Amino acid sequence: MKKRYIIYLFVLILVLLGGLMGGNILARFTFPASISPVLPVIQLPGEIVMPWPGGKAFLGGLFGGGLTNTFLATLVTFALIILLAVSLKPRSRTADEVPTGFYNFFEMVYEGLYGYVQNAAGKWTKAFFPFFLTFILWILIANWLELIPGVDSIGKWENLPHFKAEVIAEKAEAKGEHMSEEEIKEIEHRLDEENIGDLRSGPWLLRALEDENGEKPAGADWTIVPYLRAPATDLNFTFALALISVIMTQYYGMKAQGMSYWKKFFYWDGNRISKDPLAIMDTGVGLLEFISEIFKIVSFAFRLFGNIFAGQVLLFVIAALLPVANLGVYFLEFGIGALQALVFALLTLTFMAGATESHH
Amino acid sequence: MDVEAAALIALGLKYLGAGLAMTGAIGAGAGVGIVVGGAVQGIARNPDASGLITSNMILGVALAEAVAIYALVVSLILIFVAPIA
Repeated sequence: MKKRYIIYLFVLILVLLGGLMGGNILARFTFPASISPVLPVIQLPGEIVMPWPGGKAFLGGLFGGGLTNTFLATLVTFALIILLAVSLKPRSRTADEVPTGFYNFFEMVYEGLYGYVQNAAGKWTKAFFPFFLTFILWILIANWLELIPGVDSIGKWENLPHFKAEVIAEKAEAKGEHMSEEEIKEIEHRLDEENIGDLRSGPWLLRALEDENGEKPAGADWTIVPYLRAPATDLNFTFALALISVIMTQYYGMKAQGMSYWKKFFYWDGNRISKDPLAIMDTGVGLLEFISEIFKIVSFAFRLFGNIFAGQVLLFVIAALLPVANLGVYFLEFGIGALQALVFALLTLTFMAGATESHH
Repeated sequence: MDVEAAALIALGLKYLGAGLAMTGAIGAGAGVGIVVGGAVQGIARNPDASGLITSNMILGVALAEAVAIYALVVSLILIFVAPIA
């Protein structure tokens, strides 16, 4: 038994030392620089991992150029939630049994959240709770997906000069100038010449120590397009959730108060204003509230997107500079992923509860 | 001025702009500090209400923090979306 722990300790020390010395900061003193990690290329829109048959013209261009890795990760999240539901449902039928294990834990969390919604929403609990729990589960699993090793790091090779040349060609296309194949090849060749430091050899990315000017190359010629990327690093995902949240808030406001719900935003009372011109202020306040309602969509979407994308960039940069520090960043991201899911759901609940109460 | 120098200056200005955009985090930091300070005072006076105060505090922190996130998104867009080369 004791021998096993010594081996565990040995492996742990190896991992810590490797994490400490493998990073770019200390690599020049320890390992040959050719195996120190390369800072990955960070791109804002989701990368296409599987182009549609026929490229951008597929179904009238409605679905873009292909299946993006963020959307693929959304589908994985979807599958995980269905798996959770299917695996938990049979347990709920056996009510006489004392619940144990994960089912017990999930039931505890579920009851706690249900009680919280009951406190905030009152008679609307049955209507709001599905939204509340769906947002929490969906965003939580989507955010924690980022922390699984392999997500964001397993993918296919892509040549950077080739990719950049394609971007330049696309931009010229948008301006109305057509570029021939040779011109694109020429740009690719020029970009390739600018950075010839890195070579791909099989599954490895080996860096040249120095180029002909005696300088260490800053970036890589080859990069990896991951098959899966955290969904919330794509604005489409967060905007979709924000739209659902804000539009359903208006729906429940109208359901509770009828058309008089819109008086909150578009208030006009001619008699009152002719008696007291200052009452026109209420109209202005209502319009401001309407603008803030629209801005809620942006606020919801950017809060989730910004937090998760910044976390992803942090994980990348720390992994390249000082990998051992990622032990701490992992815990930070774990907490932020859970907090953002909770904040999204809590804000939705608060706004929905506020919309169903008449304000006069 | 030759083209290369102009491109380098443009690149530098891009990063400078991204850095300056993050000054928006100042206000959010002050806001979060005020919210959490108030919540801690409230809990110290009435420890029984800590559950309610904490959940409201998280809402307030999220709203205040949103401003910093807007600044962050602006600077991320400046760095990662601005045209290549």
